Amino acid sequence: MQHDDVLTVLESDEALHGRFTGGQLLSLSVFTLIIPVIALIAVGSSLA
Amino acid sequence: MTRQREFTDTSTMPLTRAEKKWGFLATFGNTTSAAIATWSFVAGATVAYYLGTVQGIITTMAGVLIGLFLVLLAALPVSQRYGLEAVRSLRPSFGVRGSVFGVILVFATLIGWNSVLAIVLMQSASATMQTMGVLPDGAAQFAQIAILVLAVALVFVIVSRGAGALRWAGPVITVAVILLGILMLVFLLTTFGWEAIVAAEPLAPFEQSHLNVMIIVELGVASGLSWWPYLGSITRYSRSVNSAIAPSLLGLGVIMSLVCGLGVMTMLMLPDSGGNPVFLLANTGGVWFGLGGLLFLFFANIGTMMVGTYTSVLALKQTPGIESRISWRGATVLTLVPVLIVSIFFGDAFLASYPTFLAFSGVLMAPICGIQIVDYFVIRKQSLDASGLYSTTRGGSYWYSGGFNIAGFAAMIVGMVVFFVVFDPIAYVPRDGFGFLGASIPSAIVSGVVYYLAFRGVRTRVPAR
Repeated sequence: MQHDDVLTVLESDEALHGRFTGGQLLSLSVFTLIIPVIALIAVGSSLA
Repeated sequence: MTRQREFTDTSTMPLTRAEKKWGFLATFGNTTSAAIATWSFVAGATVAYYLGTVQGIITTMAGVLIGLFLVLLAALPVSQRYGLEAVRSLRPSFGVRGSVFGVILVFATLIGWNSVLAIVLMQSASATMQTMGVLPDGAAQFAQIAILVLAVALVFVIVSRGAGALRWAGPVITVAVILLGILMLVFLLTTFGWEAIVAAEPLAPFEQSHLNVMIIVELGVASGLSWWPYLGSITRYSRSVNSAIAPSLLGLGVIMSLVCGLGVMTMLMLPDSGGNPVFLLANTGGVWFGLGGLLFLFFANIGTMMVGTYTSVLALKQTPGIESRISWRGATVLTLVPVLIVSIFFGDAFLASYPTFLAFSGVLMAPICGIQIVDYFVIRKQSLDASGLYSTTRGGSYWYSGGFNIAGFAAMIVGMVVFFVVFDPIAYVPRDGFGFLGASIPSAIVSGVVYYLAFRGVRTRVPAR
């Protein structure tokens, strides 16, 4: 497939993956923000 | 290898849905093989100065995951939706010509990281072999160069074949490294005992306990942010966002922090070890444990060099004018030759710059992430102009003023200033305000806000896709 073909395919909605959804943002936030912050609060409390 | 498959494996073009074939195992294998290297031990040694084993591991993991939140949000959605790697994804926020700054950043950073890994590998492996008594006195320098050349040759063989080779090499390396890591953990526990390891006090903590936590959070966030160049390259082949998030978090966050924990334990028990348990294995574990340590050094560092080299080749091939003039193999050679030169002639001096490298990851990557997140989600509403991403002429969607998006560079500078105001990344000294949110997070937030205001101030309409 040549470069122009790739761009043509990409520009059609069928070739694109969906948008990053609110559900995905929520699960990412839980694992990378909420749980880590809770863990840090626990560590901070244990050292205080 | 068919012509079509070779094109896909070494292509710098956006990938179509049919070309995205990496599932959980391939993505996890490559994120983990990228994440685990002897730098995890160096990071663990730093943690041991401020926190004990349990607090240190938890705090490091929390920091890395927070850093990954920014990186994943900045790099993953765009690389997944459009099959882009890091440098090309900078075009909307920095402009067609401005994104060359990304090429320089990624190329220089990854050559630096690969050199650090190569130097640590050749020096540690040679020292371990001497400890085991299998290397005669006076042969160390020859052995170091032989190890270096072997490692670089292996990386060349894998990377010159493109992403298809990484798809199987990453998981193989990951399995080996995890098993050898478990071997090291067992050895540490049987040698020192869990109670002694968790009771060990940090080596040189600050008096204020919250500063000890924040400085390790910052170290973790900087480590997480340092994956920005790698992430787009690895996840562009993933089948979907969902199939990329979990293996990325596991490999770049959880597994890396656990290996870092081996460094924390070793450093707390043996403060002169530099956090590297391999020497302990070779010294007191006999031939088999020593061999296990040596294999760990090889697999871990070669795995990271492999992904780093692939990422820098991909970045180099994004430079206008270079892609058509240099083959994939030629770009691989061009990426590895500086690593050989630096490792042979400037090894010790370069190795001493590791903490500065890590710190500058935070200084540079935090603003980039803040800017990219605002650009992609708030300004573009997750919709880019695919043709504009590959247009190099005036009039394209991302040409802006003379090929530069001034808003991106202004926000970048302000974000870096914010970082330096609250933290000295070279002396590793926190300043006023550091204790609240560290340095990388405020830098990313301020950059994002400044980018939005500057972009809206300069441009009132975002080009339609």
